[in-house]
Amino acid sequence: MARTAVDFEDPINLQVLWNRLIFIADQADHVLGRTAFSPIVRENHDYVTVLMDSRGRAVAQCTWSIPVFITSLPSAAQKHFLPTFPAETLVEGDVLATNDPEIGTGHLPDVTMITPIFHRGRIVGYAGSIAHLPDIGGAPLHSDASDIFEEGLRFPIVKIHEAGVPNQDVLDIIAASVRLPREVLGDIDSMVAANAVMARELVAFLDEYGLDELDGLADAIHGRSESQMRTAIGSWPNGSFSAETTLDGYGEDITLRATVTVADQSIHVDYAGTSPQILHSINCRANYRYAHTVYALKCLLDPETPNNEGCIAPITDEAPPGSILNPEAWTAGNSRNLVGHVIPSLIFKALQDVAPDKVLGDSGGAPIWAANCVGRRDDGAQFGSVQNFHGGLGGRARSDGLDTLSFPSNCKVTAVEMFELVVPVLTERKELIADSGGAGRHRGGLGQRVVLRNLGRQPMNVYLASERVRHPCFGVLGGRDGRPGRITKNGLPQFPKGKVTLAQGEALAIETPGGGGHGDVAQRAPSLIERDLADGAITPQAAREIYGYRRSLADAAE
Amino acid sequence: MAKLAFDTGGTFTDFALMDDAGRLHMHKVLSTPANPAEAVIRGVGELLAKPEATVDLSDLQVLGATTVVTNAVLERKGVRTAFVTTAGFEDMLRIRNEGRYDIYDLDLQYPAPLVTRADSFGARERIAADGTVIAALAEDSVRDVAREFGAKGIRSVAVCLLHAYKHPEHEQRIAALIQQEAPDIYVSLSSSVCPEVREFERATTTVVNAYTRPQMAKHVAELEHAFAGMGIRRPVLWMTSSGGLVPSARAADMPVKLIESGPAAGAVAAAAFGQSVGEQHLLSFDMGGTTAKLCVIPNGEPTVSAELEVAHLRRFRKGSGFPLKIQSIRMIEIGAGGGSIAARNPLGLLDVGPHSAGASPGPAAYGLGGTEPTVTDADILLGYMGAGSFVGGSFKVSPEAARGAIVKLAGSLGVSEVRCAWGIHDLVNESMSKAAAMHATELGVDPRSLPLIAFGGAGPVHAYGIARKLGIKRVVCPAGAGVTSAIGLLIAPVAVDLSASRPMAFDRWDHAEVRRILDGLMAEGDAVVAGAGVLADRITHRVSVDMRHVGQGHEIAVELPDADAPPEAFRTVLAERFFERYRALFGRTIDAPLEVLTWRVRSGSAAERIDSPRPAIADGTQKGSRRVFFGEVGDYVETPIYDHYRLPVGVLFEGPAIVEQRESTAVIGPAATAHVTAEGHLVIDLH
Repeated sequence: MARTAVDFEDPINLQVLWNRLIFIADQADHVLGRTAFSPIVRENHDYVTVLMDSRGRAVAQCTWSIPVFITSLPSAAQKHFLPTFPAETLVEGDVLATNDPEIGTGHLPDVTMITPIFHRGRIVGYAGSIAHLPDIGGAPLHSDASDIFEEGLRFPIVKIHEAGVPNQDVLDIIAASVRLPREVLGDIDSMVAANAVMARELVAFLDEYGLDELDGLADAIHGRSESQMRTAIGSWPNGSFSAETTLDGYGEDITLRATVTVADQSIHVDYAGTSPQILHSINCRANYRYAHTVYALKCLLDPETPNNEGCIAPITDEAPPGSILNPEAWTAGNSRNLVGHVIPSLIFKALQDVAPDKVLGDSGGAPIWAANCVGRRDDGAQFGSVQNFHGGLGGRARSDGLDTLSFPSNCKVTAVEMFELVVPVLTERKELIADSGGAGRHRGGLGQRVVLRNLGRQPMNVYLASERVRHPCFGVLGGRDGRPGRITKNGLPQFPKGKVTLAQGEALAIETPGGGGHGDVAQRAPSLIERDLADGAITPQAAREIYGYRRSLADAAE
Repeated sequence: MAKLAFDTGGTFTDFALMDDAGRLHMHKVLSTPANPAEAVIRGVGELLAKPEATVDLSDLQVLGATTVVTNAVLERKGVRTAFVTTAGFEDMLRIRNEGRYDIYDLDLQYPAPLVTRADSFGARERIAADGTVIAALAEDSVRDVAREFGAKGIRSVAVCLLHAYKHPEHEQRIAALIQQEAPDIYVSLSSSVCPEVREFERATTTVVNAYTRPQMAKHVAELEHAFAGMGIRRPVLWMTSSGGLVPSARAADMPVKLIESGPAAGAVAAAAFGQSVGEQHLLSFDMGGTTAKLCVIPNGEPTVSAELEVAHLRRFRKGSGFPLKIQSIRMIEIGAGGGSIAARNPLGLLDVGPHSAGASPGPAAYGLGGTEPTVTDADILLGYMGAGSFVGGSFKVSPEAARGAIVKLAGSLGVSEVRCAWGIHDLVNESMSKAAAMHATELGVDPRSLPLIAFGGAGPVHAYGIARKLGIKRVVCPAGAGVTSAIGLLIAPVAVDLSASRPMAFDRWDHAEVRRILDGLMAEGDAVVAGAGVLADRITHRVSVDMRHVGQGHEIAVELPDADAPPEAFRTVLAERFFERYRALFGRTIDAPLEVLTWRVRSGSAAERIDSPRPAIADGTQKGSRRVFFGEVGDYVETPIYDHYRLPVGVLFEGPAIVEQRESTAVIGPAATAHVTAEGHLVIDLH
């Protein structure tokens, strides 16, 4: 029996203990982030550390992680890891891992790892981490893959360490299957170390407070969080609210449709009406979809409470089997974010009349745009490096959308100077595009124009990931659409998810989409129009024609 | 040589004078925010007029720490500034790095850039990463812009061109052109303010420098003029963020490097306090009204980091301000101080901060209109601070008002008022302990091994509790804690920290280039240090380099081997030191190729020592006693109260005890023994 020396319902105890658990996850996050090789791990914070109780339920998660991980780990633990390896099959020093997209986060590069935490001879919880490896084998550029087998190596849940000893057979297979074996094994090692930090610190914590187990404290955290989420949902009217949006997809339009049903302090999102899965790598598996469903709703309902199992309990979702939001197991899914990142915007649109003071217009940062530049330097050395670009955030109830912002992911772009050090590419311009933000009471943030020129003598391939080129970001509550994105070479549009070859001296112009507006254009404050004119965010023509602004620019300057 | 230090703070300007006889004198006057020089001049005059201070003015060295620069940025009161960059990148200050500092906040905002878009200009030019001139500088494009500056009211310009960290030629030419067209304009070049790779951070650093430069130049000139009028001959030395002193001319040119001037001086003082009680490795803890600063000091000297962020739009939220690439003493600031407000959060749990009642309206106990319960109110209710223990008893507080505010909160939480007050105190200690543990971990240091040097109004009140949480065995509450930063100035070395980015893979090592970089940095630094009157043969160098595995995103600073070592030995030792640091930080090493990014050189003189014999009347008289709450007892305990300045040297006494200082109150719990050292520092040893 657990000792009850500590009263978990005490509002002071609970705060102290809870914060300490988050701190433990943050300590592990620190170790993982600082030592990982994967550029996407570091620039994108594309990893997470989570502390779970003995039932695999999330108790605390590192403060920084992107939405894809909001639910993935505990769900993987409860549905897959614990049933496959029940407590009695585990000993101290075991570490379990898989990169199966059906279990983890929907694509192969992400490894999900769980370490049982032993205290006084039994498992009191699990330390979990997920990180995006620098390579996982398969076709070098995944977007063309037509099934998951082209996308790289897949390993089921295995003991990657057994009783503290690395499982060399498995590690050798991984090393033999990837292009960057040292970096990949290094990152797996970073994850093992991060989980070990959580295990060590949790045991020290339990000792300090004289606790036998974690579950009682977990129940208290979950209870408060769930009740807070349900109260927030309860402030919304019961009912069903639908929206749909059309995406460029892979050359053929894709429809995403969501119906958000609010019923007695719980929410269910049904994606019925969404397009079927396709033979390209943008299929978005259920776990990834659910993570973004929960993320959008948490932002609207309870952005403050540190994420844990209780926050997500009141939220469920579903999508038709075989749809692009619930594809079959064999489908390709590496670039699932090109579809999944739009889910928050879609849910905001569905709820625009329910939470008009919270929702945003559609965002040009959803999804992230990427240009992977690959080729050989003049001296023959191979290079390959990705640069990311974002469009503008959607307009908001209280302010314009921010320009060029990562949303819903959180990716810092590489400095132009750092990129030019590794790739023989000249970034000729990186500037905001006037009038690209969708007009509205609060306009969408601006997109950007980036021009990349091949400085090398050899031709260079640029592999593109983008969206919202044919279908712009939509506005909400009467706000207008943003300017769509565009990718051109010599003035000619290029296939925005394809490969473009740049000969020496040729340039590629990449223009990211502007965010959708929020509210009626006619309600925009003249002072904001004047500020935009002064900043060059809108042109005088747009001020006149879109906003009906009648004063001359000279007057406005006074 | 006598030394006189001033430290301009938000409320008070502090002074410390070490006179010709080596005696220490302290002073405080109210700051004059409209013109900070006024308070400085008045205080210096008053201090020098003290009959007991003997000072030869012709040999007096004045030292300064200032908030002029940081306030200009925080209050956005700098001059109208232009930004000149490579054409096509005029939006750089707006585009930032495209990331978010909060994942769930849909209302996220960033501070508006200090330069408007209309005042941002593109120069037609381009230099590639390898130095190839892709486009020559179109000089007319610069002249045309520069001619407009005067009419527009622009007084200062920040120039940041791509790859100028390594190829400064175009920036230098632009400076010359602007000087020709607009000779009265201040020009700050990124290649001279911050020659480090990554354009956005270099640009913001240069912009902050340009934005604050005319103000700082005026401040420096006004003080130099006034001091000369008093008969003081030496130029003032100013504290930089990295803990070294630089002469007035440098301070006026590079104000951004003074942005953490006061806190840096505080950390230098803490290191000295530690040394005077025989502690080389320590944790400095300065807790005031709105914030606390923690600084791990290994080997008797604070560490310097190249990352700093100022003017956070969201309090203490990393990423919400302006990133600066300047060397500054590595410390962490926590948004919790005596004025932090305690409240019930939506989950029904107790939260402390980040909102603060500050100095006005202040804690409820101040009776200045504050009604929300603060950390100070809890500390009063727990008996840690007495009604008469504020500013030596001259500032009256109301325990009843403190109780009233706490009772209200306790009611809403459903706990007793004592439980609530203890919860507030303990929660703050918990935040401090976690921050300290993370900070120590980042430096690869075990926090339990570090004595805590506590100062600031609330530092000694909370130090005992924090030490218990961290497993720290010793707490030192220094004498003179009320003017800590001023004391730090008296002992800080003259030193300048310079850097230069030259990314270089280990397998493409160019030793001649390394020598050129280091020699160049040393020559530039030595000139500044010599300008402060340090003789050439007294100047020492310390060199480090930021290294990483090729492909990793995070760099580790590695101290350099002897720069004169032969190239192979140099490289071998560098690699060994990198792996040693890596193992200390992350517990393992990886067999992967290495690269260096940024070289850093400190040119400086040795730090000074001061011994301040204490002017105590050591009668040890107990001032009285009061009931004080201790967590480990779970109840109030009748506790004796002493006056710090009247305790006899070297005599041990057992906790629980309260020791009142002029600016703070040291809490000694039941599980501790304390004594006062010959220097007057209170040392608390936890059992």
